[in-house]
Amino acid sequence: MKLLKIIKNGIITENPTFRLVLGMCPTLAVTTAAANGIGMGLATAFVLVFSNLVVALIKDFVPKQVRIPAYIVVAATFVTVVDMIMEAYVPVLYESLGLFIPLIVVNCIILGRAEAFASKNTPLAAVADGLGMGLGFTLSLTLLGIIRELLGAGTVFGVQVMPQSFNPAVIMILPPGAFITLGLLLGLLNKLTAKTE
Amino acid sequence: MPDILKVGLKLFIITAIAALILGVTHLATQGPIEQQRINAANLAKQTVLPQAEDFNEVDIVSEAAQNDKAKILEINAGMKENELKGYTFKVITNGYGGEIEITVGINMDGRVEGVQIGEHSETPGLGAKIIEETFTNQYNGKEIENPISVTKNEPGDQEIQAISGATVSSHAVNDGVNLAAQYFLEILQSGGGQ
Amino acid sequence: MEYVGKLFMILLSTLLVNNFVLSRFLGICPFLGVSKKVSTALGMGAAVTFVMALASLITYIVQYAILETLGLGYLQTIAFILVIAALVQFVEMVIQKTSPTLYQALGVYLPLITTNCAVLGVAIINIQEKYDLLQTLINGTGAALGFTLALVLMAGIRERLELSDIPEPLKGFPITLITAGLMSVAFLGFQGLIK
Repeated sequence: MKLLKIIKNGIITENPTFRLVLGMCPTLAVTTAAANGIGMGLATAFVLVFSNLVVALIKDFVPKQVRIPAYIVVAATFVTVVDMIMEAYVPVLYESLGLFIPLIVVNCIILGRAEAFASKNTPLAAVADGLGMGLGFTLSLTLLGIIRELLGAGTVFGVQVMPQSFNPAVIMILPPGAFITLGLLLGLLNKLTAKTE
Repeated sequence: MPDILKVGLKLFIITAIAALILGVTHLATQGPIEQQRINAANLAKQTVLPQAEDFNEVDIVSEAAQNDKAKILEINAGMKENELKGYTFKVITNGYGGEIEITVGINMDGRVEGVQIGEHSETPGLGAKIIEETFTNQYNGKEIENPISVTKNEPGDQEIQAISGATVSSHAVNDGVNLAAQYFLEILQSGGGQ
Repeated sequence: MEYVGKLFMILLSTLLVNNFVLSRFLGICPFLGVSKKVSTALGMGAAVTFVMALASLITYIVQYAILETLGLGYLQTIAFILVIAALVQFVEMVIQKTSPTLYQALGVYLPLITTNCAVLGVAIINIQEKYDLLQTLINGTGAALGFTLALVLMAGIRERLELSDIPEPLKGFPITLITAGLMSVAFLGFQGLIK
């Protein structure tokens, strides 16, 4: 039960995008389409689960003074693994995420969770945390991707949704659309939670 | 001091294991990655010159391969059963957001067989529409005896219609196609390539 | 002459047209986190510029002198991030020893730079674009100056936002993001500056 709670914590209570406001660079950059959002989210989730697991396993082995470089090495290793696997088997997605795949390593979520959670908990809990945070991140990115793709191109996951007469608001898939959509979503969330409290 | 040594050793062990994991993954994915790159390169050539099956790179005559708008990077002779079917050109031109990579296929009748856009950084939703087939297919079957031009209106015989709101990108693609066509007429059609 | 022109184009492109923060989305965390006051924004900008120029140079050497000669190109990410982390530590130590005043001004920002994705980003872009050493240096510096420009502009606006009447739910991150969006619209105007 406790594990489920940890997972739920990552997805909802402490959602990395909407609650902790972490990992903004990929969030804004790759969400021009829903499929990119899912791809980026899952790639990050993969790295997060494994780096959390390894950090929790080696937490007693790593000397305190060099823990940050050690965590960076762990994260960078899994990022490179993801990088190579994606280039080999999903070249189209690899192409559209581009620079932001190697940059997963400097995503604050990865190091943040290693330091704040994985290094203080059991491997199993750390995996649950990685899974929850990863899924939370994936959900947020997908949501943003869906909104921006729908308004900016009239499609969702590449499928035409809006009627032909709809003239897409191109600004939504340009950089400004990313900032404004996320800003308004955060504002909306603030408004909704303020009411329930 | 032994403390520092111990810390260093532990960090070294972690890094060594990391390098080992990466080395293994590299070995496992090297083949597929290589294959993907070849596929991607061949796919572009195959798409713009479907008649051909094998592609052999030919030397570029440097003075004809460049004008102030575009530059030819690579030319391949497209063959099928030892018969020359046409040529594919990899051309770089300057679009609105930066360089655009274009692959152009021209057959031995002196017609454009196909055009495909590779890497580019045009504006999504506007200039980026150059990659869509509704735009690139306009070139299919065009004669290259005279340069092809871009129009905003209903296109005529030697014309293609620009993407609305993205004239610069449309012109950039057209410059690339025209350079390939010109090179074909000047150097290759006379049999200079073979 | 053509080469000098190209250098100028790289600088202009990375500073304005493809501004790291507002169009490439690199370095968003410090952009949102350290943009409350113009003075701190300038300090962060200076620290980032210093580290980015240096990191561009060193990663260039690491890539071509070590990784490529040994055929270890696939270790790029891990090698670059370690180089940057070590560099930041080293710079921090040197500044602390040699110039206490500079350390006081930049010291607090330095540890934050390791996870600033703009630094790793520019290092990878330098390699992807196949820049030579001088172009790498220009690109690194230009990107950092572009980052500083966006950061300082944002700080200037936020100092005023503090005093404005903003709807309650939009206070904090939301209004900052929306402001960034409007700045990004303005920077879109630089597109087409380079042909």
